[in-house]
Amino acid sequence: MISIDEFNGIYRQYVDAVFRVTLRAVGRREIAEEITNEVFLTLYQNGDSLTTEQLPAWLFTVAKRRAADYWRRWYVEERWQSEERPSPETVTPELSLEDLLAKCTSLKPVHRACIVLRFVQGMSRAEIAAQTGLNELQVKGHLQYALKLLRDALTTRRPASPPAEEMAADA
Amino acid sequence: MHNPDPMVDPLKPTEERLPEGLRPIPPCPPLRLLLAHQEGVLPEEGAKVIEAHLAGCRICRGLLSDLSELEPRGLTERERESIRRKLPIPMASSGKNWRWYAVSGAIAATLLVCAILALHTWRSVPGAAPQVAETPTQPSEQLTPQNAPQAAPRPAPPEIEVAKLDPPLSTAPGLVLRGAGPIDQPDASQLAPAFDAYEKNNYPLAAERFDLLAKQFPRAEDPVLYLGVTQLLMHDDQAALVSLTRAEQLATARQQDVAKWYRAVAAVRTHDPEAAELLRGLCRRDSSAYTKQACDLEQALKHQP
Repeated sequence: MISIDEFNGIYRQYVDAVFRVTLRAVGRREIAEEITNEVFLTLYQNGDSLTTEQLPAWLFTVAKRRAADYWRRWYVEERWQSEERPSPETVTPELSLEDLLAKCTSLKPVHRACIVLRFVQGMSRAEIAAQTGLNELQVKGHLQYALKLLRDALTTRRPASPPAEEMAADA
Repeated sequence: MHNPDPMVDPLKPTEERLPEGLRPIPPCPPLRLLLAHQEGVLPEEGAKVIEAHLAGCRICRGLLSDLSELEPRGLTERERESIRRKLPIPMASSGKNWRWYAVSGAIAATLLVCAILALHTWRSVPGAAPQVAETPTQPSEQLTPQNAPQAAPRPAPPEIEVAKLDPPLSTAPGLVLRGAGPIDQPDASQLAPAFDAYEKNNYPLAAERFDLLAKQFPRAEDPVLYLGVTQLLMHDDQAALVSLTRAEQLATARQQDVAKWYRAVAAVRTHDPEAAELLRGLCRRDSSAYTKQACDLEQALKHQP
């Protein structure tokens, strides 16, 4: 086992990065915390032979291995299956969301991300904020801004230009 | 919940609805599956399904691209501490690092009190103190050692036993983290011969080696700290005071209190006027492992005649 002082130093230096990698790999904060915990416990128990050059790659490798274990279990218990596309009604609208997003060239990645996370992924403002590093007020502002552009684009059927006054929350 | 109907969502404000007239959004996998696929941690069957979806879905491809420019919320300080506390690993070094020194320090303080009491008793015994010779002096007479007035000798410094400071763990066999450290610090192989002599109680050799390392690495804390401790163990107190004063200047936060304590001991032993101040400073630090013995020693000094 490595010493506590050395362990604490490595923990402080790398815990943020390990958590970030793990969160990307599993998508759930509480699971990412659990795996981060396991990674550092493994370090403490088995890190005797590690050299400084092997950090932090070793930590990330262990984290991803744990993430892969998690997904293997997840797929046994529940899995995502592609659903049937809803059958068309009498009139099929021609324009899809992705077409509309592509038309609005003034939308920035953050606007598009907020729209898709909200309306495709079904996330709440809090979840969108956590995913994007924004606060909820900013998320609200981005959504309102983007929706206005999309509505304008749908109405005018030509590429939307930014409104004269941009939403304050976009700042 | 994935893919709620964005057109009819009574919980959401109307300004957060997609414009009407759009084609229904096809079901897309949860974002976490898309990201996990990017990280390469999905089992093969899951990865194939996601791969196939991505090939045909501009929305999901666009989302992953847009998200690559944004950073999810990281750990808060509270979360960092929470993860650390949940680990079945002590929060800080225990055992010898503070308890052992606290006990040793208490013993040293007790010995000091006994020594001071003994000194006090010796000084109060009639005839024990040397008499000042009253030698009449002639203006032209030179003072010679035979007829010079005898001054009272300086009392011997109190015999404070110091606890031997454990070598740093990074010099122990089975070195945890090897590899190039900062160039102004000696590495484990350079420190080993000095600590070898130190551990074998060969203090003169240890002092010689620590002294050499301190000269080679003038900004390193360990060589000069252990040089000072070794000098104290050899009762070369004046030299120890010089070394430990330097050690305290170089000490990192981790070693500050250790350096302060040993410097204070050297100061007490050499009757340095700063001794009381050094002990007072350590005594005030609640969180120090040396607080109690510094307070005890400070009190003992106050009662010293």
